[in-house]
Amino acid sequence: MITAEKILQRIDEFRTLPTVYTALTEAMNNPNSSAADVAAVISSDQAAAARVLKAANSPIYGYSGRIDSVNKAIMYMGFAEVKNLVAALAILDVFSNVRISAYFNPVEFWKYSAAVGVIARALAREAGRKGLEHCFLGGILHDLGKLLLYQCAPEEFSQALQTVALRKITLRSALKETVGISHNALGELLAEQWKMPPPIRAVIRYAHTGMNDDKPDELVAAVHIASISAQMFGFGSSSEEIVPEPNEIAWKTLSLPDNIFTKLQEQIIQDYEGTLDSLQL
Amino acid sequence: MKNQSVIPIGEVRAGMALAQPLINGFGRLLLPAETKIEEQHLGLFKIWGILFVSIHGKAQNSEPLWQRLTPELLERGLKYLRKRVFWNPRGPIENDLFKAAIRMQAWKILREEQLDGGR
Repeated sequence: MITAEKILQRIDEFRTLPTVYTALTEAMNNPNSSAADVAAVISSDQAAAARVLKAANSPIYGYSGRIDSVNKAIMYMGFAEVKNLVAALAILDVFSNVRISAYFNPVEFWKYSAAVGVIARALAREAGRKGLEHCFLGGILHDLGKLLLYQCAPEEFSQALQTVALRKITLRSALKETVGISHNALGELLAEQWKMPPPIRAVIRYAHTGMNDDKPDELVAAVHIASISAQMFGFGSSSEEIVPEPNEIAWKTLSLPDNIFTKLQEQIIQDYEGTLDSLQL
Repeated sequence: MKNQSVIPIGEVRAGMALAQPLINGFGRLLLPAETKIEEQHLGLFKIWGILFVSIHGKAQNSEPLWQRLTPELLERGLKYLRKRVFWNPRGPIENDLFKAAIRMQAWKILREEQLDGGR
């Protein structure tokens, strides 16, 4: 049986994110960088530039066919949105060779993850929250540890998923029995290695609890609620059968209107379909 | 965006035109944008596992999807949801989440049946 230590060693060996993402992070963190500098970084990777333009012209942004340069995409979509999109595409590439098994379907998993990003963003937007630009990427990456485990310890991960289905327990409990560490903790370690920002790392570590290390946190709460909603709506597959109960503190943290799901449901479906198209899922 | 509608495949009719390309889960292009839907495409959507498509123009049936779901379909949607959700809603917002989820599941059942009936 593989041990947690061996999986942690594999994280060190794990491929780094594509250069375009790390270069983009550096450019966007540099206060002297202009939009043209950032556009130049993205344009240096032809595949990334093409995918950003495809996404920018998708219906979810409402500029269909009018954005013909990365510069314009940044202008219309904003820095954070473009960066999050490049990050999501980069991570999809890293795990592009993951194969389907009886217990795990990576395409359905990405669809679920995209839905969590879409719903978290919609909830935050509707609630008028500011500074929640990490909602979409946080939603997409919140279960990153599952992909890592599936790559590094496929047998143990499949065994844990079987245990979840048979005993109706959480994946975290099953993983603690099989590998001694949860997918949340492993995902956070990988995100740290990839130099993801602290709010994203907190989402990966704590979204399942709805709180950031026992403290209220709007981003963590939004992804927590979005994850449960995506599972209940049947968008893709989280690979876990049982849908957990929401943390009441997460609801309080977000203070959402009582009819938010009825109000947003059709918009969420449209955004979900558009996002699958942007991410080529 | 104003001239596009995202509609469930059960409502797609021959003669409509795709506003966005159809791409499957493996990134393969199934139908390019601007494809005019023909009768033969309708059965293929089920095989391809497509849920919604973007078409040009407004959907013919502009009534919200949810208002076309019968009480019987909603009951079946609830039963399906209950196979995976073992907790009960504790307040108005969780009630709303449950109702939205039941509608989604009921709609999926309706879609499956429409497709099966059309085959």
